[in-house]
Amino acid sequence: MNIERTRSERRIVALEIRPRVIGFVVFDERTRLVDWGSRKYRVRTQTLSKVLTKKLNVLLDLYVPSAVVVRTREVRSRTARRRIDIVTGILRAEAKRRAIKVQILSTKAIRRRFAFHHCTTKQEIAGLIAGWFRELSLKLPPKRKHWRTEDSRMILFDAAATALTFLEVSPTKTKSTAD
Amino acid sequence: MKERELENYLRSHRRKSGLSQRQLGHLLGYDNEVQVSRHERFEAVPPLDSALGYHIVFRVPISALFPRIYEDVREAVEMRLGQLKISLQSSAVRGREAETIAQILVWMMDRRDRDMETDEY
Repeated sequence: MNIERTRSERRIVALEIRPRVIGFVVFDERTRLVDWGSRKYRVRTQTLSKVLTKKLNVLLDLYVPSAVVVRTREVRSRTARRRIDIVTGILRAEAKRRAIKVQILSTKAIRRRFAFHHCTTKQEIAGLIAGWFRELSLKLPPKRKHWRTEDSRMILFDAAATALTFLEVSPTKTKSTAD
Repeated sequence: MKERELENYLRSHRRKSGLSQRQLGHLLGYDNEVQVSRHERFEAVPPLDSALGYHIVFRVPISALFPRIYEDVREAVEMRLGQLKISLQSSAVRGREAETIAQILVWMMDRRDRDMETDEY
């Protein structure tokens, strides 16, 4: 990753794309967490494009980021993979229309970046991020039991991990918006 | 594309506080959440009493809550101050008018010194 380029990014939106929901975080000035949340689109694949374009437009028009960062994932299900591909395609088109860069990061790169902090599991990474950003700490889900599905709140931490990997920052003390 | 500051950081501060738009609207004296939502989406600039209300609720200076508006106003005022200074320096008046002009120019110098001191910190 080009360090000089990423350092010049003023505001980024990091997305965690799932087949039926998108998680997002918005960072301003590298370590200022501006917004976070998720947008559901539990619609048929045929109507996905229309619904999602609207949701993405709101996000991109509101924050006017310099880059959108997305993590690539290995998805076994063909249907899920197709939906994720559609979402990524819409995102690329909308970003291109606004001259916004789309950066794709691999899961491996994110894991490698957090391994530096001795965090190897998703739960450990989420715990570390919750420690850095107090506003996210209340969203930290309890450790998942192996027979349970993933907590829906984990999507926020996945998006935050993607953003922090892209920005190459380890905020020991996060910058408040009051600063 | 030159990136600028966000118009305001109201949504960010509200989300950090955990307040809902309706609760914040109520604190500011609104009947519902509509106005807060419009301010957060940069669709409307809040009136002075609401801006002060946001400042009181979040304990954040208005210049930090509304950085873009602040920067626009600051640049415009500083530019006009510069123009005023040039016109005052080039004026050829005497007597009481000259005293008034001197007072303004001294105040401008003090103001600039104060700015430099603030920058040092």
